[in-house]
Amino acid sequence: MRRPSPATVRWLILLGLLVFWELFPRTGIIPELFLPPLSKVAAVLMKDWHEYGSELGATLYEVAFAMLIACGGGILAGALVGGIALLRNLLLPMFSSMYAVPIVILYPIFTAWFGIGSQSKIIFAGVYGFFPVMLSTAAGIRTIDAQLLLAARSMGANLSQQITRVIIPASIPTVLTGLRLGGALTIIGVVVSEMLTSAAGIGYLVTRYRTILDSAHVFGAIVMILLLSIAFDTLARAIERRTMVWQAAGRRQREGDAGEVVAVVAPAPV
Amino acid sequence: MTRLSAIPGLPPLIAAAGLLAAWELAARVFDISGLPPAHDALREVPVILTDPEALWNILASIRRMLIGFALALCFAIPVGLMMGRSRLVAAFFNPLLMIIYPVPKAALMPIIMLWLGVGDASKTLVIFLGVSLPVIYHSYQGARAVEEKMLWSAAAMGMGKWARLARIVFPAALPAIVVGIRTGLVLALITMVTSEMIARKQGVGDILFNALAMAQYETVYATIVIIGLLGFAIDAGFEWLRPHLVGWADPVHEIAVVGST
Repeated sequence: MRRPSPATVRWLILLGLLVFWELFPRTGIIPELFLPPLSKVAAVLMKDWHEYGSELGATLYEVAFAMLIACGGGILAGALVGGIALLRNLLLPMFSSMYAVPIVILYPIFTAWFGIGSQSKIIFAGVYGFFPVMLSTAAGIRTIDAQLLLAARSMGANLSQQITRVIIPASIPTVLTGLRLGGALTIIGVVVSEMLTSAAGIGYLVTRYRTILDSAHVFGAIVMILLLSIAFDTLARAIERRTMVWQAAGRRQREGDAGEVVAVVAPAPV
Repeated sequence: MTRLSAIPGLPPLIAAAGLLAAWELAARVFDISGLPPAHDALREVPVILTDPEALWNILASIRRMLIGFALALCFAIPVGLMMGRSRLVAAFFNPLLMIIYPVPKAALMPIIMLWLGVGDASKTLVIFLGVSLPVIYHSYQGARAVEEKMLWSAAAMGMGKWARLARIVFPAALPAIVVGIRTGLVLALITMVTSEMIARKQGVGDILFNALAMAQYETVYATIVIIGLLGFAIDAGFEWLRPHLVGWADPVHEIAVVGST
């Protein structure tokens, strides 16, 4: 018998989980309060699609602006930190010493400053996703093979040509990895801050229905959150794969210093 | 500049001083109640640390974090090592992990709260999940990179399968495992705080939101400073411990180790 491919196994396990999800509560092994059957969750989603849709819209609106802060600001700051030695020596050790500080504790302050509307969520999630993007952009710029720049310079490339023709293409793969992590954290940041204090968004639905113990609605909202983050992850990975082609060429990982930074910013989304 | 930043402990000090200065300045410029001056908030830190109830809350948080962290290590290191050495185990766990990986663990918190309530059990479980993934991943990578010849020699000398796993694969993979543990430690703190903020019952997250609800901003900021210092201390402590755990893995000593085995 031929071994099934990993992708097939993954789909089979997923299918098995979904079947269990339907069967266990139906047969009464697990109470419906703990795990409402899949069909019931689907029915709730269909019935209240209007409510879920508008709250998803609110969440997506916040995610979009937060991504703008995290990705735009992160790439810009990372380029400066990676490109200018003074900033790098001053700031990178600081960021790595603050790596273990959970940023989520800042959210209460943001609510005090910006209220409990979408503004505080956008800013919190933007800051949440900013650091991985910045650190990997800085690492991407630092690990460019110096010989590439040397070659470009010896062929008479000026600074702007060096940036557009060498530095940007060579750092794209590392930056994309940072964007995938930062983007995932941005989505989590928006959803978690909505769960904490808010009046709109998918995270708000989770908290509201949890307090009235309506588990079918809670699961419906969580399914939407999972679909949102899995969709983003799949999209980001697909883009990364397309740019893999030139990753192998023109990149020389320096042991220890820059590789460490990439490893440090790569925890699984919490 | 390079020489200055090479002094150990200096960059964090500069960072802290810079942050405090910026904070003090911003508080004076904006002058809003949501941003008290740094010295007022810092004065609140010893007050919180000597208040028995607050101290008890903080210790409860740390205890939860350590339990979740320890349970995760007991589970994740053997699983990761076995995944690295056995195709069968890898074939079983890999797809499961691929499904769990992109799922934000914080989003599972409400479901876990439905199951286990808002008490210790659900928070410990979330910490366990958050810590397990990086530790499994790094243990797996470490176990896969073990030199086959060492395993063959051990098998030829009559060492059993489990003894090989414990006495050859584990020490050989230890440097990789330690990297995973460091990430896991950070994630333990993050998940601890996040879970307490979502399921507010006691702990550091509770102090934070209670103070916020009563507009005691000095307490809010002081709590944040305490958690920040906690995170910094955990990470720095582990970095200090790392050479004692895997000092032999330093590339400089590698030849000596190979020679002595």
